[in-house]
Amino acid sequence: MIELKQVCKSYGHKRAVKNVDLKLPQGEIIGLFGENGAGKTTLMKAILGFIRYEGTITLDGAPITTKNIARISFATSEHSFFPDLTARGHAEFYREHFPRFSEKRFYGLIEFFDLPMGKPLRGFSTGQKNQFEVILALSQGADYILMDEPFAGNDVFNREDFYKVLLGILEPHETVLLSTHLIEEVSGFIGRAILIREGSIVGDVTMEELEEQGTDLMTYIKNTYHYRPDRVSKALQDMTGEEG
Amino acid sequence: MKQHGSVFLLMVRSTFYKVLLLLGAATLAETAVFVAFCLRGPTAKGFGPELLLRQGRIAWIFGAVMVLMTLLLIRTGTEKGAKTGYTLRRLSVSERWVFFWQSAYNTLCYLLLWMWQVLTVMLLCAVYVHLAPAEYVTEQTVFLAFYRSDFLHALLPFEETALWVKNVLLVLSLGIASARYPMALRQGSKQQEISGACCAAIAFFVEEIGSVNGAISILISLITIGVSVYRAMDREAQYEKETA
Repeated sequence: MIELKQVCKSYGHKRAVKNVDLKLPQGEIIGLFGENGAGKTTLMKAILGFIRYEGTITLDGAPITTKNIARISFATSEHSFFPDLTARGHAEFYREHFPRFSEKRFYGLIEFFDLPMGKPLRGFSTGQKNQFEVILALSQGADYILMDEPFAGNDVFNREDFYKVLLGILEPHETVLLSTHLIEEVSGFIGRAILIREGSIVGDVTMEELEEQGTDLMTYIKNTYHYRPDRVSKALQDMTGEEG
Repeated sequence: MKQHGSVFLLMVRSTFYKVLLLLGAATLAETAVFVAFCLRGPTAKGFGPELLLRQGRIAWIFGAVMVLMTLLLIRTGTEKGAKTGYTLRRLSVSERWVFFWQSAYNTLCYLLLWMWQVLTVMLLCAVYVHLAPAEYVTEQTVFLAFYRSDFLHALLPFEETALWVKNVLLVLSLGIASARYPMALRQGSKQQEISGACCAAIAFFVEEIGSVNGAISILISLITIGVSVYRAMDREAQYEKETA
């Protein structure tokens, strides 16, 4: 389990993450939702040790270091692959550094998405690059797969395929923490939703709990964020002078 | 050891073909100025290989290729359109080793550039001896040219140990500083040892007999190597301390 205790991160005077306490057990698909700049990416980077932070983050009770970092993989819309390397080159490189790298899963997914094996990644389209980024994260043999807006730039059919593949291939011990704005698209397959706003966790609910409450994820998020549905019509009314 | 080899191979796969293309382009450019010089025929100033190299601005081409090679090499690890640092920081070898292997690879590339340039000018000189009118050529022509031309002498200093030391240190400082640059960027700092190494190489590679340029160049190279290695080790130690 990944456990965050009182995690804080500031950029200058701006506090990007405030006193976050969170537990991410194995075997869950978790959605991480929040507006732009809410702290989703910062939280993921803190877990991966890419940025300095206050508080503690542990993986099965141990700090996350080079010794256990291979248990966490990362797919980001910023892309973490090597643009001059081919897909095959990546497989050979990752095999050496991630002992649990699954060639079966890697080549299976490459074939499924029909990605070229011998072409350098910089020649891929944005959609293909996103696909490859996620394939690498899924193939590393990590127990925790962090995904930060992995489908930005992919069309809806492509994303749909990915969700199906994700559900089909994940092993019971694999955890996915998926940061996205596509709430309605992912609400069907996540088991838990974490809401972050201005660096603080403002909501943490399982889909079962939502079902028991007789509500859906979108309504829960709107309620948590105190979303005012009449806000747009009021603004339009003010601008046009017409009655709503 | 395989992991170390894969990091070295990553550098090779990412840039080596580009390095070869650059060297090929340099040879073409130098051959073009050689042909232009030969077509002009003897002038009032004479007609010899050192004149060819002076008037043909081959030293300038060499300097430009060195700068281009530097720009090419510092891109590995900071490629446009990707954050490869996210992967490099999660490898089974520490970033200190990535820095070491990148330094080794870059140094070999600069060494190749040096050797390539020596071979190219020797070939051009050989062609010159073959083509030039008999009154301009003796058995000693090429040998003397390497003594009379400061650029040629800097490239191949024969028994002048101090020049060999200066050149080796220049190559080493360029190799190490160009590996430090992407590492510093990944760690969020902008250190510019590579600029110092490049300026030193351009300003002091060619020196007149009896000048103090050689001593200054050796000093700058030693400082560049020391600062680059110290900063790389120090930052990595800090990172390890933070994540221990």
